[in-house]
Amino acid sequence: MSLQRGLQVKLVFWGPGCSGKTTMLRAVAKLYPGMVAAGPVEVATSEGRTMWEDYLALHARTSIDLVVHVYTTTGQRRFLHTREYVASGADGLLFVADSRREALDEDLRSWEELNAVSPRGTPMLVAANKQDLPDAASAGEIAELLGVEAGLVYPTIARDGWGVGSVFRGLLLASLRRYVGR
Amino acid sequence: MQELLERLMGVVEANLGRRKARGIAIVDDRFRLWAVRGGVGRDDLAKYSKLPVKELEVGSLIHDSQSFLLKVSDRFMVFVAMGENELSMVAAASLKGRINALSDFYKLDRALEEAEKEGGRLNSLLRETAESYRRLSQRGDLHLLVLCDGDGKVLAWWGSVHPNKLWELAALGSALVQMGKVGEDRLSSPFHNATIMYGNYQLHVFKVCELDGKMIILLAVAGEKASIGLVRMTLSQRVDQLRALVEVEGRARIGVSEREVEEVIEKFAAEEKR
Repeated sequence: MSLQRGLQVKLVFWGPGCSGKTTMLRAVAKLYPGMVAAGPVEVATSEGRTMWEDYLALHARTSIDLVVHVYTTTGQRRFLHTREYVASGADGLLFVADSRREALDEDLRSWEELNAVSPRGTPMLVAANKQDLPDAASAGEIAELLGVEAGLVYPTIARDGWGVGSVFRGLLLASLRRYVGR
Repeated sequence: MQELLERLMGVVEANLGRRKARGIAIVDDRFRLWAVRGGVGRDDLAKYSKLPVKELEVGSLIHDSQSFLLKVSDRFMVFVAMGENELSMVAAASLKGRINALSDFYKLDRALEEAEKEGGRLNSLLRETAESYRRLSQRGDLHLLVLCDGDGKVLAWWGSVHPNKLWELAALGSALVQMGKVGEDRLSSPFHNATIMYGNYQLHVFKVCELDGKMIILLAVAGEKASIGLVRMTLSQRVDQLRALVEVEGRARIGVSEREVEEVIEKFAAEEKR
């Protein structure tokens, strides 16, 4: 079998521990049930925390045969060195920020780590997750914290899928545009 | 197929005259490399790849001072790079004068048609690897070969597998390689392969080559009694070809239009509304 006329892209969800990366991945799978080709597969610790990665493959047939490989990285600090490997080769990166105010320092640390390891020019969007919580920082505040344009930050509630489609399509669009005219 | 390519390479070499070529390649009309001997890189072929070679007659010749391209069948061309300036015409004239000796290239045309029907040269190579293993070994079965990059993007596969399982296995292979890379850094020693043993299966991931800093890997799923050393040996005989094909086909297949991108995004938006 062959993928000669196909295109495959790799999207990676990155963010601090418990920011909702795995929940976001599950939400993506629920959002596009007819496209799920594999997964979600979760490589997790006995406490249910991501140990290496989670994985989901989506298959979309249009005039191109597209497979989207979606990975999440670990958020826990102790697995710091593994994240870099999972994120390498990404066509697009989604930073899943935890919008709880007590988590903002961790967001910033994780964001800086991501910027240190991601190749220059890789499309990157931010999901300001957990917007349903009463003390959540707004998408604008998250943008200011991370020093990015407000248009790159999407408010999301991964738990019920709210906003997930917008940010996922935005990331996919930015990632696919890298292949235009190649 | 492998034997045919080797033989054709030999015929080309023998008919070039006394001057030794820096490199020889057999390429099809989409400039996919089928066989390479010596030093032939993408840059060497780049200037020729823009020409309308499909419209050329068999026997047509294009050249510059250091290299030439000779159309030897409906679908195939021989590219030759000479080591010294100004010798390409001498070698080209010598080879063109013996074009009848190259008639077996038509067999490659048929092979290419078959390969296109079945999904490309990379797949053919994987199939050949599997068939070669079967000829050599009396023990155990080889169930699946998957060629993918370190990100789990599948380039080709051979064997019987449900597509969903294919993606998951490629992701598993990719994860194993990433873990291998962690160990590489920690142990200061290069990664070669990773293995997981199951009750009835063995799963092996081999490093084939590196391309643009990305590892290209082969994942093999075999029965418990299979000799994975033999699989590796049959694979190692084809590594150069795999590397060349991955370089050409892997790069050639990417590239979309703005309209196609929009179409994909519309499809995802529509799926959300279902």
